[in-house]
Amino acid sequence: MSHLRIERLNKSFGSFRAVEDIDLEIAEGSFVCFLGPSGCGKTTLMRIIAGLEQPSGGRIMVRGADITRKHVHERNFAMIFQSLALFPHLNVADNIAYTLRMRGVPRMTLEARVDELLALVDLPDIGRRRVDELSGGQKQRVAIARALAQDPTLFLMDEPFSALDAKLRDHLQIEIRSLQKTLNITTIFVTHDQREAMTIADVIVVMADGRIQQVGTPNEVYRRPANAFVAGFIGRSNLLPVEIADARTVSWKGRPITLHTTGRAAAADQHATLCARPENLALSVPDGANDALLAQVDLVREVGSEVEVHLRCAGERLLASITPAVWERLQGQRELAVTFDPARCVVL
Amino acid sequence: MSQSATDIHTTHPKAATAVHPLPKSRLLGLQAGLLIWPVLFLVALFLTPLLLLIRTSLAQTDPAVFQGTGFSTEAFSQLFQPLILQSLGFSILLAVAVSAVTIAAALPAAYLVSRLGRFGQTWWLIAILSTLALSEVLIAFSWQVLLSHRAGLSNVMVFLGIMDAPVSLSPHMGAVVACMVYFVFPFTFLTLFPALSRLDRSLFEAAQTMGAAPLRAFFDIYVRALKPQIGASIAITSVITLGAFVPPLVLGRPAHWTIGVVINEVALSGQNLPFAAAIAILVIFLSLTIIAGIGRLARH
Repeated sequence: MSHLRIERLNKSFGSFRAVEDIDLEIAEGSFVCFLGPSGCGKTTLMRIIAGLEQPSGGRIMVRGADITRKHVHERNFAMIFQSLALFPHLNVADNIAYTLRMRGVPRMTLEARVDELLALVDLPDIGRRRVDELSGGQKQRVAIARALAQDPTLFLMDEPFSALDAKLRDHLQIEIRSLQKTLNITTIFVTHDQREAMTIADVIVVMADGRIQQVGTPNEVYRRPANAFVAGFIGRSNLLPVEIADARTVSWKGRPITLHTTGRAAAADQHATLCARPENLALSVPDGANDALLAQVDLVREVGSEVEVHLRCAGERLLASITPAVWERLQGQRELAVTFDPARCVVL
Repeated sequence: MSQSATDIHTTHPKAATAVHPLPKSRLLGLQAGLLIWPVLFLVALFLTPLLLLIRTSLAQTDPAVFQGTGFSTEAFSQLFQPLILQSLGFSILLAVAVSAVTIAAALPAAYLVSRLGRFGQTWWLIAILSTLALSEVLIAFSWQVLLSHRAGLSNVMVFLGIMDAPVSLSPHMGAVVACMVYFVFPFTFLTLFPALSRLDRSLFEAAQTMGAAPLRAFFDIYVRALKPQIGASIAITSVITLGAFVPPLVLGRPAHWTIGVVINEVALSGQNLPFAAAIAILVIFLSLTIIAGIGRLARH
């Protein structure tokens, strides 16, 4: 049975439809990322799940029970807010103990649990500190410990790392992921950073304009984007307007591109978009073959492990990513032949 | 002298070098010169009256001289008589009642206004600030009319069917409290509002996700996080209430006279200025004790 099931969920603020017709199932123990640009409805969806907003329509089920009308304080979902929302008037230990006090946990048990949680997030002996005396990373960990103190049914995180520098952010991503695996807590993580979503999640829910665009593993959404939005939002891609020629061929600007499958029944002149990741383009020195696709080199950026080649082909821009070793053989050429990886390029 | 000059130089290097390219000695002279102004004000408006008050309290009553003559501790030995103690007790009780009602009204009000948009906030602040323009006398007499038998609130109550016949609601302790609450409300509101609007709204939501029912979360976040501001409001309210003069006189019975009214009675009706001065000094000590006590509580 799925842990969390969302059925036909809607939320409007006046005439603005923040979240539209969301259907989603989240498996027990999984780490799910809601990913999308700002204003796509991901935070609203999370707030509805938390109970901080009431949906305009639809249902939320947890392990088969309808919780749509249940009050926030009765849900036992832990939430880490973007601002972390650590209580400034309480010290670290009292912040963590807050939820335990709500439940009337006896003092001895409570103190032992707080120490245990502080040890878990690698911050022993700071219980007496004031919250504003902590560093950014320490605050994050206290917020995580405070959330875990709840022994939550569901763990919600709203862009908790967005204010941190890249290094600390990477570090905490790894930490939160391993904690989540050890404790096996179903987790939802909201982010607008596709790299963060790709590295941390079991399942990515890509959202735009209040709707779910695609649900899949990081690999699936990268390799098999469901539409042009997903292809453009996650990673870089060349999106080419093509016509379907037959079951294995598309035609771009009159040139045939052969793929393993177009995924469509052959229907002449059917318009589609070809999604080709920069690493799915192969470049070579033109050998004079007739149907070769030739492109002019516009700009080259050598970025350590890869070389970005910006090309222009029949008025369209193309981006290819190749290895420095390949680039060495091509250097000096003003025109290159482009071939598309037939297995990796996807027709949308 | 040279020590303090280097201090200034190290703490404000930019201010001293870039903005004021004056020699150090002249800079110090300028600062000292500027300080004379507030010191003069303090001496003229605060210290001199205080010293006169102390001097008067230590004088011997003299039927011929209003402020008394010579030296005597007679005024202070009179302090602990029932009239004074009763009035002091009542003043403290009134301060507690007014503080409690004002906080209970101003905290939710400030919370609601802080949740409004900019436009709404501005108009509410203007409306609340504008009541500060009304004098204590005007407010007290307006309340007297409002609570009167003929034109007051009780007529509205009768009209609404809540009361059978109009009655006069003053003089009454409730009337004194209502008027004082009206008087101190803007001070309390303005003390609470800035801190409240700065407080992160997600704190309140976080408390709820952690299992606190909304009312409990409101108390734990808005009341406890605002303890310093609530303490300051209670201190301001208490001091104003201890010194209240017109409202208890207009809206209360003699039993509802605050210490301020008693001082006036002793001074003008009793023609005993040294005794009045001694009571005033007692009130000053009481006020300082309240402020210190609240400051201590709010810090912990």
